[in-house]
Amino acid sequence: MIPWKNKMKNLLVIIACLLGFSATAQTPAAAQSQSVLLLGAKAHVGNGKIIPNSAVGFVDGKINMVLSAIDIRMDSTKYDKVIHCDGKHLYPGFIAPNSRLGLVEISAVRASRDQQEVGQFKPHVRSLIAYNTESRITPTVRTNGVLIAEVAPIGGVITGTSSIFNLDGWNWEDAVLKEDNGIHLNWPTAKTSMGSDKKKDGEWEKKYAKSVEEIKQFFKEAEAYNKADFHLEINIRFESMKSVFSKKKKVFIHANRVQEITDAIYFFDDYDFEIVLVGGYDAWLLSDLLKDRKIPVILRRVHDLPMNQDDDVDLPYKMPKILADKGILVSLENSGRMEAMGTRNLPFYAGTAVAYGVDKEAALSMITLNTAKILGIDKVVGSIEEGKYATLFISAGDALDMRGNQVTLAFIQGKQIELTNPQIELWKKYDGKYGK
Amino acid sequence: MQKILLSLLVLSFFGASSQTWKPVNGTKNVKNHYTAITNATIHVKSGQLLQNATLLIQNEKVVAVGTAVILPANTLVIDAKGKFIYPSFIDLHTQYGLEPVKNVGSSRGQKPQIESKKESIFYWNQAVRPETKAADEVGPKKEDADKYRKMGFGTVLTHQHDGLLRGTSALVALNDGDNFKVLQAESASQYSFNKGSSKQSYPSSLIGMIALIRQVHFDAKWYVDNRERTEYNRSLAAIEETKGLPKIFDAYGTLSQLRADKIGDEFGFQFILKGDGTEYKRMQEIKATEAALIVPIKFPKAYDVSDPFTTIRLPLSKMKDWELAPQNLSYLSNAGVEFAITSDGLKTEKEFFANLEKAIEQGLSRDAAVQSLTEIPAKLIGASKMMGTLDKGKLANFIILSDTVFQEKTKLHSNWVNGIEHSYEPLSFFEYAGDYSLNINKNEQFDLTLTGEGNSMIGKVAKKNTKEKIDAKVKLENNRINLSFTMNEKLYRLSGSVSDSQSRIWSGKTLVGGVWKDWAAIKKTNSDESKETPKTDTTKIEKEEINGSVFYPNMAFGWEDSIPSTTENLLFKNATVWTNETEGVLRNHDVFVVNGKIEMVGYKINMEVMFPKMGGSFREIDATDLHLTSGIIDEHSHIAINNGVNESGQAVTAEVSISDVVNSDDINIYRQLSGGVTTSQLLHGSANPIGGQSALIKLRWGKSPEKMKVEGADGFIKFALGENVKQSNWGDFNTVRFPQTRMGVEQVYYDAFLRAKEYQSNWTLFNAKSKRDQSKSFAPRFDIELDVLSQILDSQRFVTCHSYIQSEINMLMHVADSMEFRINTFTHVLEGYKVADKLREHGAAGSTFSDWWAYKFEVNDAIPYNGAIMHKQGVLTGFNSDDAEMGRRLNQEAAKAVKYGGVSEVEAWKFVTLNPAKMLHLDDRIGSIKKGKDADLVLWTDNPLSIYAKVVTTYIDGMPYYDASRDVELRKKVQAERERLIAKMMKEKKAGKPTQPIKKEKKMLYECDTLEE
Repeated sequence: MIPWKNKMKNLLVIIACLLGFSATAQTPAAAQSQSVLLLGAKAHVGNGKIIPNSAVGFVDGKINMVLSAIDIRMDSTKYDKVIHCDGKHLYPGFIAPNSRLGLVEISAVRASRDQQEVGQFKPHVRSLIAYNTESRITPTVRTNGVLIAEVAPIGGVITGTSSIFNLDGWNWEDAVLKEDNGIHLNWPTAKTSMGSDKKKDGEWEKKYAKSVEEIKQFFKEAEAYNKADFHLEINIRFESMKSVFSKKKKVFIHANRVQEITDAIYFFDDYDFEIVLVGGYDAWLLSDLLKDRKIPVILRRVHDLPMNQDDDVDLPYKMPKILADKGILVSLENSGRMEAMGTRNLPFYAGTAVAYGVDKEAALSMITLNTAKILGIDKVVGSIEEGKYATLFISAGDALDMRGNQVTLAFIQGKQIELTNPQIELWKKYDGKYGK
Repeated sequence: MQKILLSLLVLSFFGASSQTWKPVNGTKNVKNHYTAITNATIHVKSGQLLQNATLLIQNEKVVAVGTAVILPANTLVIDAKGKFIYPSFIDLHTQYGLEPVKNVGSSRGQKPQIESKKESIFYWNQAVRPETKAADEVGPKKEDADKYRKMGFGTVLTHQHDGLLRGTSALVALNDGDNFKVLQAESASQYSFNKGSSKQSYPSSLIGMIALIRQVHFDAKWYVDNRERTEYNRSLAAIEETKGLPKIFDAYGTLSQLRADKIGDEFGFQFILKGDGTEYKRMQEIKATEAALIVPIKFPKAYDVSDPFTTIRLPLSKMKDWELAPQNLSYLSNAGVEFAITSDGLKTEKEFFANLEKAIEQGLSRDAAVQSLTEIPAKLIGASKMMGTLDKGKLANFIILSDTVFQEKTKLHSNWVNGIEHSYEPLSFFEYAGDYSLNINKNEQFDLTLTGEGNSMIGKVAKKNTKEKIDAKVKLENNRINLSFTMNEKLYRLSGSVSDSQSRIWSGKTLVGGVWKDWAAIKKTNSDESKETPKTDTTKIEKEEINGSVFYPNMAFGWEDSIPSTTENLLFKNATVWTNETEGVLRNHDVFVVNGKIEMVGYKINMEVMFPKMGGSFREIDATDLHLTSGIIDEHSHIAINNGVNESGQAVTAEVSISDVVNSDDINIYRQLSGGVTTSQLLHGSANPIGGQSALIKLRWGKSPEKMKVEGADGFIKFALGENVKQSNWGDFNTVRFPQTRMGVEQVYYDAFLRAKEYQSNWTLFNAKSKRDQSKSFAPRFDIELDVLSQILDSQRFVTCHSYIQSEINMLMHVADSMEFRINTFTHVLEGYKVADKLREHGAAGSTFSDWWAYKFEVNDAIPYNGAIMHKQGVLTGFNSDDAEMGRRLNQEAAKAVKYGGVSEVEAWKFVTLNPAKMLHLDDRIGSIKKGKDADLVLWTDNPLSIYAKVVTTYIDGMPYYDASRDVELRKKVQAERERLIAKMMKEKKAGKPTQPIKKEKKMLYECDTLEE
């Protein structure tokens, strides 16, 4: 009944070992110098496949072998280090899109908040240079298997430009996986609770129309600017849009309701951008439109209350299933309350998606390969396949379930990262205080 | 004061004589003639309808009414043949003739005003203004009076809509200028749950308002008892002086009506309850209050549901309210509840009559409607001797109508207030409408048709025996006629008069070529009224439409009609049973439930052997592969609360109680049930060091707030420490209220408990005295706040304290130790792991979050291993939600105690079941699966700690309040009901009736630090 007792002992040993070689916690790992072979783990590839008894090797940060250990007699001598992982699970590092990690430390302390710049149109504002590699939150996220995060600014209409980071590194230059991957656009809210009489309702509609007009104007002006060969005066906001027009940056549209989503999609029909819908509470009502335009969805937090009183009580739980069944590429995100620190619960959103009908490996894809595809990093991460970075981890059990998620080994680009965090240290410290 | 009483006395003897103290300019103009309105159908009072009767009045009074009234010689006679006379209406909820005040609402964004700005002879809180007298302020307002008179009102009760105790209302006659009269200066004491214009911080919430209303009444009683020994207080004196008056409570919303009634019960008052017209939601409870009601008839307009996407946002509850609102009066009437109707919220007489007509269509009897506007309101405010019927001696307050009251075609001819006529539609008896043969100068023949009503007629003229009709201009004034039309470029201008009221013959002169010629018209037929009957057809269709029934609660997923009252006996077969007892988890076991209690846990219970008398009177549930646990208990929840979770106006608010504001109609109750939660402690927020008392509820979805409360549970109170109480994150304005530091917080506690101790000893001394000595001495004042604190000192009430940092946790235990009580539970207690040994020693439990941290500075050291460490150190440990979303996944949170710190699954499960039951002193009834305990059970698809586990059924007292398969049916029912109502609303829109746009629902999810709305 209590399968954990023995495993826990193992785990404690591992953690104790880790603590042993590192008094000051979470020092970024050095580049991979020894080749590594992980043997015997049940590999969840990330693309829907499972290799029950796997052999996964990597060298110089990249995976160079993914095989089934049952079929092939292995020559493990080619690897400097062989780690036996029998009975354990191997996963690609989970990817948290639309995250605030490293931008905010303590939500209530203004001085520690760096996620929201002043103004409405700020494509030139970049999360890249504010990303704090020393955040005390990040190590607590890694220990649950989240190894990559897209870090995006918030607030205003165009909130800024996001970048994607490996969750290990001495500084942002060191940690960045993909620089300036996209701009984020909050589509204005169409109708809200403004006022109680018709006049005010009308006003709100006017305000919405005006906001949409401003977006149109901005894109038109930015386009015109970027068609010119040279500029007497530089407009850095428009300069930062150049890579949007050249499709180097994606456009992440944050919208939840039918009208907003529809208006946004039709608006961007006029442009040849790579569009991603973020949020998408009503996306299930617009699946044909989304499918037709091949627009993927980074779905709002699964562990949430329904937005409408009459909605099925489990609507947010079953949304991944509904969208996936419609043939939409789905990824899961964690924005909202407690967003930075709650990033560590990302795997459990995928778990809930499984409870509500998504196949386990497909749910895993929603926090690995699908996300990589949507963010445009699937060539290098998102699954355990040859040629990709060895950003992966070993869990004692099913990492999508709280009962199994125990990360015992983790690598980012082949570098073995420390699996401790300030919270584990405090745990040890006070557990020690009371003795046995 | 004496003056006012005197004037009241004088006014009460209205009409005793027409003597006046006012000097007359000129000669005295006495008018003592009689006025008789004859040949009318007179509704004297309910049950007395006189045909062909006469109403005889003199000055402002009815002198006689009957079918054989002898008219004195000096009588002005008004023939009202075919007309209907009713006593005029009385509106008990108006602000007529008074300057409305602005409600202040939230005062954030400015420095809080803690003290009252009024002089000290008034009550200390500006929202309490019982000394206000509407009679002192009220004056005539022609436009408003006219609005009311057009609705048929002759008198209104008016008061200033400002404050919780609003003072007295005045009954005034709706005459203008000099004729304006206050008929009853102090008619009722007025109450509300609306703070009004007061900018004082306290009370900031409904709980605070309720507590304040209670305290005022304790203070008023004490004031009277100790009058000679205390200084004069105008507010408290006013309460005493007006205590004999009827009390009217403006309690907007059905649940608030129940709340107001409960306050009344505590002090021996029966409030008259003014509601919002949604009484149908809780008819049984409303009826049980035995209160008379004042009910508005403002019905919501249909919603514009033409856009299906926008319509998703419109909750079923709103649609049902739209459909049920017009039925409210009929619900009330059928239930035998006494009610008066108010026009409150309606702007025009058209709306007023249309809505009354709608209510009548929906089943309210016409007679009941009249009574609710006349006799009942008169009775409720003790004015029956003056008004409400047309009996001899009453005020001559009546309306003359063209037909039976409350029909669309019925016109108001005149409204007589205190014998003064206000005419709106002349009592014209000329029934012009019809077909006429028109003859001009004996040689020109025409057909004339007149349609329309009253004096506004439309005429059509055609040459005799031809079809082509042209418009004719008709001008009518009593029996004088002007008719003009142009035919074949010839202008006809006819003047003349009508022979009789039937308008049978017209005759007159016309100028033809400079010569006066005769003309005449003879009526051939009256206009047939049945011609214009498509209207009645539509009403017929409407009547045939099915009305939906009330859901409990009246929203999506509510129970239709009623909640099953009996529970089945249940036998769970072959389950994995998480007992939470020494047996641990039992595989393949049976659990037998009888009458909502657990009867037996056993392996393959043989019913024939063990319970031979049961026969087949139980339901067997195959629980193979399923897990059966006791229900989840959330020690820290803020769901199901109305109008504010925090009373943030003061640092110490022990007097307020969440149990006063339980909201049974919160969808989150159902959502939590779907996550296996059966019991929740609804806590006050954490805005102040000593917050309010909590409510313990079982999530009996559909039942009333009172029926949700856990019977006979111990009382608890919320304390709070840290950033919230010192207002660290409240912005730059909130830097005034003590405390602003943790140092100050400690002193707040010492001060409060020392005051409570003094209070206790004062009472002890007083109670030890003989009755005689007691009456001579100064009694201690009953203070709710100090009384509640005394209960803590006496271990009669238990503290659950919001806390984060170890230093403050340590501090509060010291305070408690020195005052000789125990902190029952530290909630959140995120640094509990740092002082686990001290917690254990003190005997405090720790109810924490599984993994929240980093949202405030004080949670920087919060760790998910907190639960594991506290548990390991012997602290009674639990996980709570403090969040409506997390509340429905507490099973997953419990699993995090396994993940972070390696607590065993069996013990981790207790973190959300048995351990919180112990914290709430309810472990003798709930929290484990054991013979004799309540059958609060959850059936899961999987190990409940797994992310893959889903609830199959949640039982409370053996009753399935949530069931996954029933939920599937409910979803269909919600959709079907929505579709039915949407179709009905679309029909309204097509019929051209006004609609309203759909608004986003204001969602109020409370957390610890949510301040007032």
